[in-house]
Amino acid sequence: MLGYKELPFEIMHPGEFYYELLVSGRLKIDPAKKIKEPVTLQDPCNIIRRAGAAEKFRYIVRQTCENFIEMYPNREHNFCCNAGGGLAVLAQWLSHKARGNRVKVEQIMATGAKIVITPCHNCNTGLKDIIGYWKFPVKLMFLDELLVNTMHIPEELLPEEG
Amino acid sequence: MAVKPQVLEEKEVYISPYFPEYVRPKIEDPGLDETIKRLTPEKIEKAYQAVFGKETARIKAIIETCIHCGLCAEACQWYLSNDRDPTYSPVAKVKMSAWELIKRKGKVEPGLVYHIARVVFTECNICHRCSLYCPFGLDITFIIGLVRRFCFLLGVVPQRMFEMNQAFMATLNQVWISQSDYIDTLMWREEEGMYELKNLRVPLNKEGVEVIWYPLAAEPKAGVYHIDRIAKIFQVAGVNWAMVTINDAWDSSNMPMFTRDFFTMQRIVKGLYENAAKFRAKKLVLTE
Repeated sequence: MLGYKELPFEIMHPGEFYYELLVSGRLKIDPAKKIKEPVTLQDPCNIIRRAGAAEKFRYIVRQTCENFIEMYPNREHNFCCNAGGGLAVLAQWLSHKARGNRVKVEQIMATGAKIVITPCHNCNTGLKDIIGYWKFPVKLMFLDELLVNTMHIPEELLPEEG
Repeated sequence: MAVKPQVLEEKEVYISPYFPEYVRPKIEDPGLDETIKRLTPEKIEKAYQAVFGKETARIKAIIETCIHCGLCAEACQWYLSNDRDPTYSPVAKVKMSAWELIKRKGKVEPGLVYHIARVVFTECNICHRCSLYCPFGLDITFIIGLVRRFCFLLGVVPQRMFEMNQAFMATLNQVWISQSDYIDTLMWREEEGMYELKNLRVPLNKEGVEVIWYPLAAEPKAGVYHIDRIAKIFQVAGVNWAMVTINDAWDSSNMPMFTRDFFTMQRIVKGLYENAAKFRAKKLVLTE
């Protein structure tokens, strides 16, 4: 693996790439399509705590949502979704896992958000599990869904009628 | 805010014979219950020697610097969620796993291996939050990872996790998708997407692109809408991108990393890098 110590390419989380697209103006957000419901952001451990993409994700969310409420604690101090470390696949342990993440439920409920943005597949699974177990009313959304719903689509790209 | 569970709880209780304070509901998992029956003292000691035998400086530094202050406990969501039960704190997890192994020099019974596997595989997410609160900044999760490696060498891994690992060993993706199914799915999504966005493309194996996007294998299998969304965003932004279908290396989720199966882990990453290098991509964007 030493041959790959200096990579000829950059490795990115899509969130970081979306940030580049938004900042450089290649992708534009339609102000009329912005999400009006209160949203909050789940910080994935590896991308935030270890790779430090916290502010980039916040930039995307602030661009696309009108009402963004931070969880507390947040950024690199955020709690894990309880599906990291391979625990996402352990279906037999579902209630054990969900009991082990009451903190996250309390954290989300305290924000009063209706949508939780999860920029990670593991986080999405983890939050889905605790929503099913603790029965609390929030919707989950990925960053790609957020962008597809709010981005400005130029007219020449719209499909023809018929 | 007080919230109450709405699902029936497990009835039976498991009390560890080694640590009486460790009381948990009994959960059946063939990956742990059945595999410990195959263990012999020689096998266990061999696995111990392979992982902890050399006593590298990194292991020693972490094990010997820890003063058991318990500040990491407040960082762990397992500890906080279970009414501050001390057996859920990171230091207790290390105490019940690595320290016990090192204290006994690997001469442990299969029952303890079950206990250890249960602790490291189902009660720690390797989220690194405890390291943030450790006054010495010790990498606690590194030790948990080593113990996972020890359990993996013995084959004592929760069933679902091990099955996923085997899928990676065999196909380099987590849901047993063959290359033809993968190509078929991508072309199908391109065809469907044309009705939503003009000239939508899902380019395959293009050379000299700006971005290569590697999906999670579950996306072509069960969540094709992710492929649609990525294609739409890249089309609108005018990104020159492609997806790779060759050499079976296209799944960016590296589950063997969690069981510490270094060989499969390396095969996956090497495959992804080689494909990216082959198509001279400037950026390698993984899935969310």
